[in-house]
Amino acid sequence: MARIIALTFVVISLAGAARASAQAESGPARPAPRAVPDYDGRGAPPEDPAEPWMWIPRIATGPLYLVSEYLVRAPIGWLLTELEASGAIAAVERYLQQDFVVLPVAYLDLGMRPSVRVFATWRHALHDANQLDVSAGFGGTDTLDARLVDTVTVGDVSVSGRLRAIRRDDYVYGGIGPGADNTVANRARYSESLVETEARLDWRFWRRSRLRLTAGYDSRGFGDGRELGDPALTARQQQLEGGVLPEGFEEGYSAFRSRLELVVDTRPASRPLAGGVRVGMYAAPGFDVDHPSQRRWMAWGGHLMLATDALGAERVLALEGDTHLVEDLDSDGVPFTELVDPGRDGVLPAYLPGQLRGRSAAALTVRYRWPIWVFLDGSLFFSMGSVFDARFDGFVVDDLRYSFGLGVDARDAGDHPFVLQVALGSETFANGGEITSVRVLVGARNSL
Amino acid sequence: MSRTTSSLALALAVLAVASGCGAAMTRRFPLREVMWRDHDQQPFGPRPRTAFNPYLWDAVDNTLFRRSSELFTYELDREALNVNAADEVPDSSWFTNRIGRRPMSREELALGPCRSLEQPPFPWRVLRGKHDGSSPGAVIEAADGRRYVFKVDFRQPERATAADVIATRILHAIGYYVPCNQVVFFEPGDVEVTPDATMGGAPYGAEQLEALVAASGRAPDGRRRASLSLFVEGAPLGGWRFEGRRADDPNDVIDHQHRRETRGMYVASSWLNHVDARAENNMSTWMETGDGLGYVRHYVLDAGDSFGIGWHEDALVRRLGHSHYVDLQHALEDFLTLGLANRPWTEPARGEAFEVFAYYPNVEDYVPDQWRNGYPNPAFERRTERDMAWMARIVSRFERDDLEAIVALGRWSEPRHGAILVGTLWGRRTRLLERWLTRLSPLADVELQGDRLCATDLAVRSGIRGAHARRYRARAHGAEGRLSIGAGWRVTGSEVCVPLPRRSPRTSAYLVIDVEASTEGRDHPAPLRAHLYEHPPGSTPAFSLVGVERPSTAAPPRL
Repeated sequence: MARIIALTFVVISLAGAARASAQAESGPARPAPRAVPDYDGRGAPPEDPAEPWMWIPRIATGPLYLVSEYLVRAPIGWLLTELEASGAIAAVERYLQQDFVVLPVAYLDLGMRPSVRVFATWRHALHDANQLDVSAGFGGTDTLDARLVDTVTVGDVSVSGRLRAIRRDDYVYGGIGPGADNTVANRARYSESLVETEARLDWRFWRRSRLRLTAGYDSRGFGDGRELGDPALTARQQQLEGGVLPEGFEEGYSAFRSRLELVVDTRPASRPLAGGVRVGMYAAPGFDVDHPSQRRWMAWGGHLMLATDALGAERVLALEGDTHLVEDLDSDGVPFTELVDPGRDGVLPAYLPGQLRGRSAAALTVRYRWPIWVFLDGSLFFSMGSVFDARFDGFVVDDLRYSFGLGVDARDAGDHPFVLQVALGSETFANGGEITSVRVLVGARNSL
Repeated sequence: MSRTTSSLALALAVLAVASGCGAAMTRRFPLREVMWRDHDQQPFGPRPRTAFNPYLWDAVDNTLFRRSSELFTYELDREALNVNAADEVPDSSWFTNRIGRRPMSREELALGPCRSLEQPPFPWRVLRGKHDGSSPGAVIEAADGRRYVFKVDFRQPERATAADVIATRILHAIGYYVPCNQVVFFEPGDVEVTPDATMGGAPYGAEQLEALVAASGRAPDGRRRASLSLFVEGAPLGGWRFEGRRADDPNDVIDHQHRRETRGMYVASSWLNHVDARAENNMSTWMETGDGLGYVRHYVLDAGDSFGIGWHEDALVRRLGHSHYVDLQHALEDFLTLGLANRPWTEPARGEAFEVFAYYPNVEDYVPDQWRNGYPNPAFERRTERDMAWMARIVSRFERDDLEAIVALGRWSEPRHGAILVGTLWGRRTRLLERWLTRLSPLADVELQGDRLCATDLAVRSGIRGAHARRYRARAHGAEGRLSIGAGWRVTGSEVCVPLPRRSPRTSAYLVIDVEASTEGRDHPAPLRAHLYEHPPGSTPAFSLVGVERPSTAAPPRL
């Protein structure tokens, strides 16, 4: 407390000195302010009887006031005013309206490393129809990524080339399949280095419907993760699964993959929140380029959403169903990062990416979304679902888990949409159905 | 004041009253003339520095940082400071009583601050482009040698140029200093660029002018349409702020947030939906009086956002006037209530002439005391019922014909648009009067007529109440207690006159007359309280009216 008071006096003294200095520089002496007129002839009004009592909270919260006024408001005000006066803000405004934009953002997914990111967009790059997007993220020396996307758009069709290089050591591994002990207490960390190239064709053919075709090549290597209080993946496997490592972990792999995705969405393109029906399906074959005839897989699945703006004014209630499967087309197994990951894919957003993995997954979600500001929507969801063995083999209701959450999403889902979410996820009913997963997200996602 | 702070202040105020601090004697007015002029135009020197208006910081500060700091100041509500004994605002460098104190002819209303309604002579020469503000424009010099800000419409046909004129004329009639604005028509060849014209440091040439002219609207006869705003008198010193004082202006001794005309601007702004009431749209000027001396005058410069400004983002346009640009309170409320509560911006109707006035004509959605401007305004936040009632009394003086005369200055190519605007202004006027003219006494123009005290019932005069339904009651109080009021009441239309009791005192004696004006079953505000001195028999005049109050309760005075 004594330190706070001392600091307070220092701040006040500095502020006072600064003001005195500013006044001293303000030029020739001016006449003293005139007396305040007695407008109604009755002199100053009597003091409010409550006024003396106000000093109790004023003194009690004085340090908060000093921090707010002198450590926050004053310096920010000075800085912004100087920037505006120098024309820097106007220059930035003009800059933002031009073809080249740079935007710094930050992202925190509690349980993963926080990261900062810089996005740069160059519209009409070398050609009117061309756009170049670059992003670079940093969350520590072992959490780095860089992405580059070049997109040519002609009418409703866009073609893009993508390059991604990512290294992180905080990926989560929580086991595979419905029987895995994937509680938070038993999760592990691994590192992954990824280099990926991809070509993508998008055709937006009706309202929010689109056809997307992608083809790409990537190379991945894995290792143990080290951070955030969880054991390394190999240690977990030693302890829980007799040292058996997940498919593809030890040697890494390089894959060629393609994906065909069709989404038919009756909602208007110009209104993010509207009632309608969305049906989506995809098929995504892939193979290990080093073992093209032994390790092949096919991911496929579908999505159905029925949404209604029953309350009007973009207050949309939606029922969504998702199924995702991965078929092992050969006998060598499917690399673990190719499996269905409902946390990563947003199907069960209460779970961290990697916490749940399986050969198949299904989820039924009731979602309510409503506008809270011009550019932000509130979002509330309740999901029931989980991961399963191949083609839902051995499906029992007790293997399901539930999750729910509340959040705020950016209305315009651009390349770096803002999100704020708190979500809770349970264990399977077979394991008691207790809430064990808490996921807190805040910041700007990277959608490049 | 924040709601939390208000609650705490209220709790402590209750504590203070409970501890015996609540009772108070009625404050007497001295026997002196009512102050109708604040002598804040006393020459001084040197000239104050030109202040820079940080528009971004002003928005950020008022939205977030100022309000955060004020959470810890526990500021109690207080009445405005520059209120005279008549419960009015004296003329000053900020405000001049006009329609609120004297009748204004239609011609006077239309002329406003202008000397003439003639269009300035061509050619108009562009001196520089205008890169600030939301409307595209330029600074020009007309052939008469006077300088103007030249603006054209954008997005909405004719609204911005018309609003520039109409809103400032209304603000002028109310009492503010405003520039002389007018809607003008021209041919592209009437405007030319001077060789050294610039915009934001870059050369301004024929190409920029062509783009500006191309963006302007067209009159039915094919001419181009724009608005011209004559440069105001005096040298610019930057926009005056809605809080604090200028340290370099010795006449500026009242914090701006405690001036009644800055607080009362809330009512006028809500009427016009002038959401952009902020420092950048104000202007202080240095009025030279000679020998290097002068004083500071305070203008409201730009109200071109009035009457339903539109943007491409409909979700934002729907909120204008109902919610701040960044309204943390509304966002939090809508988040916590899952958006289930219907808001005025939830699904507003799109009426006729939506492309011109957006949602402004939705009079039913206008809730006067819920109105919000673009971002929080420290003077508006400190408004009290009395400040609002003061401005409502002024607004009540505008008659429909007055508004028609002013709206005609918009020179609408489609007369229906002018009619819609008049109807909207009239409807909103009714709603704001209903709110702010019925809770404190609507009696005004208090004066002595012989041995009667007379006042105008603005509720009747403005048309929101019928004369037949009004009930009047008066009580007289002296130091000796309640006095009886004799016969001689006179009620004529909206004027009510109360006979004054006679006591024949040996020296001037204090007298308080409470006059109630109510409508049975509707409103029953507390009385108008007139403070008088009764002079000894044989004195002329027999009475002096020295003060007027509009208390919020009907409790009798304690003399």
